[in-house]
Formats: sequence, C-alpha cells, structure tokens
Amino acid sequence: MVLLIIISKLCLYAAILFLALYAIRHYIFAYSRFSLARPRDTMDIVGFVMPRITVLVPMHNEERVAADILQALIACDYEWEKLQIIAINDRSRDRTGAIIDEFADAYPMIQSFHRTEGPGGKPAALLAASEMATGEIVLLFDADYYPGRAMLKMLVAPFADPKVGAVMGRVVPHNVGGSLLAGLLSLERAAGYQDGQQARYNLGLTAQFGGTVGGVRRTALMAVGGWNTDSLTEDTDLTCRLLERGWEVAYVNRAECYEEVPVAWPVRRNQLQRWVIGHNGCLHRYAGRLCRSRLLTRWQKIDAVFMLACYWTAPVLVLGWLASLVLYFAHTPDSWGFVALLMFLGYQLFANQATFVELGVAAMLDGSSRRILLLPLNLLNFFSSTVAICNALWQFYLRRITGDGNQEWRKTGRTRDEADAGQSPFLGGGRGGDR
Amino acid sequence: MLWFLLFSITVFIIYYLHFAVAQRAWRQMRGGQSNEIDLHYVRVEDYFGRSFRSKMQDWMELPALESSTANLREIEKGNERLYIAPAAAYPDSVRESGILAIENTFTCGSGCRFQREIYVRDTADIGVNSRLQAIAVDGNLTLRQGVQVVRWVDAKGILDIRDRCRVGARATSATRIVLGLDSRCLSLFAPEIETQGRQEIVSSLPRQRPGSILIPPPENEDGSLAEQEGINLKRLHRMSSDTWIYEGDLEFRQAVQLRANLVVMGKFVCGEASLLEGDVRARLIRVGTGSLCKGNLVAEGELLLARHTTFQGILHSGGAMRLARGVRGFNVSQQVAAFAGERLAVEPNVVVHGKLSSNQFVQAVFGASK
Repeated sequence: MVLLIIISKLCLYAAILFLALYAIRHYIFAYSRFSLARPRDTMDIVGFVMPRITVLVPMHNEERVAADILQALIACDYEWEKLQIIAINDRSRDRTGAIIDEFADAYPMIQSFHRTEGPGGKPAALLAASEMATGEIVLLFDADYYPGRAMLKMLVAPFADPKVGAVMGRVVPHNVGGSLLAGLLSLERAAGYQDGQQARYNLGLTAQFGGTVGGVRRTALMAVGGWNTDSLTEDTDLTCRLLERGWEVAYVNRAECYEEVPVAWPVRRNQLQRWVIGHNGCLHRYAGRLCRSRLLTRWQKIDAVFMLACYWTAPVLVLGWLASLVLYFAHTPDSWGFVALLMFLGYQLFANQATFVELGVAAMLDGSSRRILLLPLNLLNFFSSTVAICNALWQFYLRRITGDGNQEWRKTGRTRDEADAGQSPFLGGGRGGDR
Repeated sequence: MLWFLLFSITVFIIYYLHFAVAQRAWRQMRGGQSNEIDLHYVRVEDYFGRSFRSKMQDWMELPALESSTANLREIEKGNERLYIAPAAAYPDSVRESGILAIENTFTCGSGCRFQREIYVRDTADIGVNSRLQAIAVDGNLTLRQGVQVVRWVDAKGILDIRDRCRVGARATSATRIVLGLDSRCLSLFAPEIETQGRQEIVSSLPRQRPGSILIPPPENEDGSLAEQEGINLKRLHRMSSDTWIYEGDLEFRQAVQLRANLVVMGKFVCGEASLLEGDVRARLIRVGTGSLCKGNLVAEGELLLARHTTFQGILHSGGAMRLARGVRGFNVSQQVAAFAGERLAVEPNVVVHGKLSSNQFVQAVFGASK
C-alpha cells in the first residue's frame, strides 16, 4: 500500500509538472499575442513577390467539391503565366477525374494528373505529382478548402526570405453551425492559428506547416527528401525535417481559407487519431535530431519538442487523475493541494492543443463575442479528445510492440451536401453567420 | 445543514448559468455559417483613393438640396454633407467641415483645416501648415511645407510632398511621388518614388573585381570548397541546391560576389561594389557603396544600403532601415518594395520604383552616412 501511495504521488507530481510546463508555454503565447501591437507578417510586400508557383490539389472521390476549389484557384489574382495548377485525381471512383479533365481542357494553367496505382494516401499522391511541378514554390490545398482571391499572393510573400522553407496560412471552419462539435472545433482552430501559430511565429519559435493552405519551397522540399509516404502526418514530418536543416516555417494569419470541420463525433475521432499517431511517430523520429541540430536556437528546440509531444498531455492527465483517486481513497490529505492543482491545470487543457485561455484570447482577437460563450461546452470536446488521444497512443505503441508498423491513411469524411456540388456555398457571402 | 444547502444551491446555480449561457449561444449559432472571410479581398495599394472616388461618383449623382447655387451644389447623404464646386481657392486659415468635391482646380492658403475628405478632378495645391483628413486628386497634387494629412493621400498625377509634411497612412500616386526633406508617411507607393536632390547617376554598377570574395566558394578538383578569406568552411552548410547557411557573422571589407541564396545566423556586411545575385537573410545587413543586389535582402534587425547601391528585389527588415544617397530600386519585370519594422530613413537622391513602407514611418532625411 505504501508503495502504491509513493508511486501515485510521483505520478501526480510528474503530471502536474508536465502539464504546468504546457500551461506556462500557452500562457506565454496568449500573452505575447495579446500584447504585441502588430504581429510579425509580410502583408506589406504582398504582390511584390511573384515567382512561378505550382498549386497541388490532391483529390480522392471529391466530385462534390472538385469544381469549387479549381474555380476558386482560377479566380485568384495571380498572373496565369506564373501559375501551374496540378489537379490530382488519386484513384477516384466517382466523377472527380471527369471534372478535373473539363477544367484542364478549359484552362491552360490546369494540368490533370490521374493516379491509378501505387500506395494510397495524400503523401503518396503529393510525391507522385511533385515530379510534374515546375514552380519555385509548391502550394497545397485540400479539395474541400476554398481560397479567397488574394490567397496565392499572400502565401508566396514570405518566400522573399531565403530562410523560409514553408509557409502556413490560416484555416477557418465555414460550417460552424453544422453541429455543436463544429462550433467547438471552430474555437479550437482559432486558438491554434490566431493564437498558437501566430505567437510562435512572432517569438521566432517553430510555426508548423499544416499540409494544406500552405506551401513549400521546391528546392527545400527536394533537399529534405520530399514527402514521407510512411507518415500519417506528412505535414508535421516535413516541418521537422525542414527545421532540422535550418529552414523556417512562416505563418500568414491573413491568408485565411475556409475549410469544412467534422460535424460528427466519430469522424472527428478518426481525424484526431490519425493526427495523434502521425504526430507521435514524428516525436520518436525527430525529437532527438531536432535537439541535436546546430541550426536551431535553444528555445526553438524546446518548442519543437513541446509541439511534437503535445498529445501526451491527455494520457498524462489521465494518469494524474488515476493517481489522485488512489491518493483520495488512501486518505493522504497532504496530496489534496496537488490534486487541486492538477484539476486546475487539467482545466487549462480544454482542447487537444489549445488551452482554455488561448481559446478565449483567439475568440477575442477574432471579435467572435458570441462564440466565446461556447467555452463551457468545450468540456465535451475535451473529454472526447482525451479518450481518442489515449486510444490512438495505445494503438501506436501496441503496433510498435507487435511490429505491425503499417498505418492506413484514412480520409476525413466530407459533409457538404450533394445538392451543393459545383455550387460553392461561399460565393455571395455566408449564410447567417455569427458576426 | 442550512449553510450546506445554501452552498449547494449556489454552486448549482453557478454551474447552471455557466452552461445555460453556452447552450443559449449555441442555439443562436446552430445552422449558421461562418462569415468571417472576405473571399473577394485583393490587396490594392491605392485602395483608399479608388474606394473614395467610387463612392463620390455615386454621391455626386444624388439630387442637390434647394440651398444649392450655381457655384456650389449641396448634397445630403445621411449625416454627411457634400459640397460640389467647379473650382475652389480658399484663403488662409479656413475651416471646412463638409466633404468637398471640386470639378477643376483646388487651392488653399496656409493654416487651413479640412475635417473631411476632399476629391479634386484636376490639380490641387495645399497651403503651408494646413491639415486635411484625406484627399484624392485626379491630376497633380502638391502638399506644401508642414501639411498634415491625418489619413491617406492619393493622386493620379505627380504627388509632390514638400518638406516637413506628415501623412498618417498611405501616400499613393499613379505617376510619381516626390518626398521632401523630413517628411513622413506610413507608406508610399508609385511607379516612381524619389527624394529631393535627384541626380542621374553616372553608372556605378559594380564591376566584378578580381579580389571579390565568392560565396559559396568555388569547388576544388576533389569537390571540397576552396578556402576564402573571412569564411570558416566548417560553419558553412548547404541547405538546398540553391541555398547556403552560415553559423556566425560574415563581415567583409572587400567586395563580395554572392552566387546563391544565403542565410547568415549573425551579421552580414559586405564591402564596396559587391554583387549579390541571390537572396540574403541575416540578423543585420550592411551593403557597401555601389553594390548591386539582384535578390531579396531580409534582416531580422537593421538593414543599411550604402550610397549608390541598386536593389532589384525586396528589402525587409524587422528593425530600422536606411537607404543612403543615390540608392536606386527598380526591376524591369516588376516593382520593388522596401519594408522596415521600425523607421525607414531615406536620404536625398533616392529613387524607388514601387513601394516604401514601415510599421513606424518612412522619413526623408539628410544624407549623413557614407
């Protein structure tokens, strides 16, 4: 019994320390974001950096959204002579290929790339299509995203800096009213981008390339070995390899692009589990290498490890809860103060990466006064995410132990109505938004 | 027992309110769609002038008030009052509170105060020490000494900003901007921006000097890099096929020929008549006299271009920036831009085809540096 109490106390203290470090990190982000009058950005040189670019749009059974994204890219105010759009039909079984071909016939800058064999998944599709790319910069958009007219120029501007290897824009959920989950995810996304990414960029830390609404310098991509088809999070994987080699990831908060977030809890769970497994794989592959890199500062190394280990907050918190229960039933009142501290720190971690205060700060910066009221309901997302993350980590380590290393790349389900196919819900403004 | 009940009820109410408010907010949001992004936004440097002109065109077609005369039409639009005149010549120290639209020329004497925007279809000349809200002019515009523009100024013709003027936001012209000494703007954009004392430069473009430092150094026969004075080869790493990174400072008194993109983790200083063919990123950048910068220069801190240097790409600094006498910024294929996180000081006889902007202000200064 004494041994159990000692172990429980150690677990509790370790959990508190671990979570406190994360809480401090995110409070620094929130403070930095709030206190800086003008965030670091490259908006003043937008339109003055115009290299030849390639836009990759991987699509797998995307007939509902394929026309929207291609139409939006054509409408961008980038010179057509400097623009190459590669629409990738990745083994689709619906009309995606036909839609792409129609666009390729109509517009000279669009090239269709039909992929009929090879491994599945977005990284494999990107790897195959990258060989056709002729642009200095390769930009990426998922098929369900909808870029605004200035998007390409805004994403390209940071590449004026030769240290910038990749750039990331901001994703904004358009279906916030689709379900309570979508509303909560919009809070989380706002915190992740408006607060987390921008603060990390301001502070010269490690902003993260997110694999869509972003881009990468083609020579940098080739220098670090291209897309990793073995990774479930090819974006994080690429971020790590770029950072290790001295490249920087820039973040452009104004480059906002609509995305569709999951409206159903099972879809969200699958998405989160893929992220967790991929992210954790990167933690194992790159944490040591990043720490040894001579081209990163001490704070960049620390932030990179925090970024890669972020999903560990969930099992550590669960461990702390279990330890608290043991200590409670073992009647050790001297630990109750620490239990209260754990509760407080747990309360900070209301989403998978963003803290409670970050959610609030981001909503305030966005001026979403009504959405901020949803914060208490984020408890549901918190518990759901905690379960999904623990489950994913369990699967990850189980597979490592059993030697079953193959992870299947599962696409996140779309919910855009069939009636909307080819008719963007974004054209002509939103419908009854919350602002 | 009573206290316990009261405590329980209070806690319950607090929790209930906590979630009830959230639930109510959610009910209002349900079924709606985010409307946060303006998908049609494109960055246009002379946006304010264009937008204001467009509004004015609409307003000027509205019916005039009965109080109008042949020489002054008055139009009311909501709380706004618009005055349209064929021409206007204001004496000194006039105060005007309405929006003005002038069909021909517009002049005003010294010390005038215009609290609303002005639109002029021909030329405009603003008197010494006057104060404007904003002005759009279809012809040439002259802001005489000490004029203050609270917001923006836009001209289709030449925009002549004389000494000691202040423009709170953008100054744009479709033709040319001349920036007088000690004048400040947040940003300037025109096909040609020049400071006073412009002289055509007898070509001082760099000649490739025999003693130039080559970066990256040439390769030996065995594939290793040849030794170059001032470069520690152990600190020089290849990031990609066209980009190198150097751990530490790179400071040269002699000319440098940069043949690739270069990231310097410290300072980058190069001597007279350097030729920078690639982009440079460093903590601090100083480029020597008469150099040619074909690529972009990005400094985390200060950035200085010495006299008669030419740049053809982007200049971007997190700190202050200084463009010394005779600096030229142009590129035949597209406009160039210089942005400073702090003050951007521009000495006399500087010509830039494109944009100068700063988080603080762009200021024309005396040429003190060599």
